[in-house]
Amino acid sequence: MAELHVLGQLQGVSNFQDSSSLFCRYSFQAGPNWTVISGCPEGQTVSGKLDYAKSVIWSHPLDIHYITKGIQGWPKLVLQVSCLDSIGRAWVVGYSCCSLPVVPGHHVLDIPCWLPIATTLTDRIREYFLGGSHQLLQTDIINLGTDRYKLKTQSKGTITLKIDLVLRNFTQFGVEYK
Amino acid sequence: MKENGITKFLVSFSGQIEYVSFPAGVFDEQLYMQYEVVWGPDWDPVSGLTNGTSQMACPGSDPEKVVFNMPIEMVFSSTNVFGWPQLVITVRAQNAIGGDSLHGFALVLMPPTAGARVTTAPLMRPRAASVLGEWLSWLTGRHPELSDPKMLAGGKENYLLRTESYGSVSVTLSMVSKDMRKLGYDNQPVCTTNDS
Repeated sequence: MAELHVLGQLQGVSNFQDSSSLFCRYSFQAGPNWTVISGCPEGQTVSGKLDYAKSVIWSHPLDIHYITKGIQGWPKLVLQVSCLDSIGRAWVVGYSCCSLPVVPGHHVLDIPCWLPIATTLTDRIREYFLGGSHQLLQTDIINLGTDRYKLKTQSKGTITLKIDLVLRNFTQFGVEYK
Repeated sequence: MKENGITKFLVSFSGQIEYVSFPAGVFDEQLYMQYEVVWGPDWDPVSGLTNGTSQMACPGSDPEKVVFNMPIEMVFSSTNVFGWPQLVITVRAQNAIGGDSLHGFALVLMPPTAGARVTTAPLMRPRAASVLGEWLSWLTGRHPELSDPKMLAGGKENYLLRTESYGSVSVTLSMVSKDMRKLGYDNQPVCTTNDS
């Protein structure tokens, strides 16, 4: 079977308006043909404080080994950025999803994030003074294109992902990626 | 593959940790760094130093940049790409009265593609989890540290460590591999430079 190695780092995030520290939960999602044989497809980064340039550094290592029987459902990365304030409360400040590149080599990806906004004035005032945010109940909407028309969102910052892909035996099975 | 009896591939990394830069400058302090390499279960170091300590260094005319030019050279053998080696760099400083403080940790993935790569890795250091701890570290000038910086390369069990980042380290590394292609691996980018 063909194998895919994902190596890299979840580098950090920039241009988030929130002033407390931020962390990220991520999960790799792939089609039914794909199996993870080693590595952790889900995880959580450290919570980094904003630096002088208003960016947060995580440097979170990624190392995942997939085997696959087909090319349907090429892995995707689903990300959820949360903030942690000074008294230990955490809430979601951004969702994002990105398809992994399909060619081997080094890739630097900038992944923009979005968040559902508060629709009523009272909610907006509450968020301004007390913190907190609206979050998704069904998180599959992040990586699916259906039912999105019901959402009102706002744009948030950008996550930087540095990734190296190593493919094995894909050409043997007739997969043409070059 | 199996018909020619090759099961292992060799990877050689060579390069140097070039310099550390801090945007607010380094004054009255001497920096030094320690590096360690973390690798997966299928990997074996064949030759070279997998950890080391640099010299004590001061900035020159530009106070933002401290040059180390610390050479790194090592060869690994492995049967599996999983657990690709990562470099953990710890930057520390010694001040005029002998106090030793942590400036940050950086994590760099050794390049999985052949050729040279310049990586600028940000430095981060743990922050006290409570207000009292933060106040104590301000008062004493000693910051919380990780007892084992290698845990950063694992990526698991960080239990929502609070960190802050300041400064960066620049690393130049080149990679040469042997038998990876024969084992079916493809790690080369599509657009290979074709000088003709």
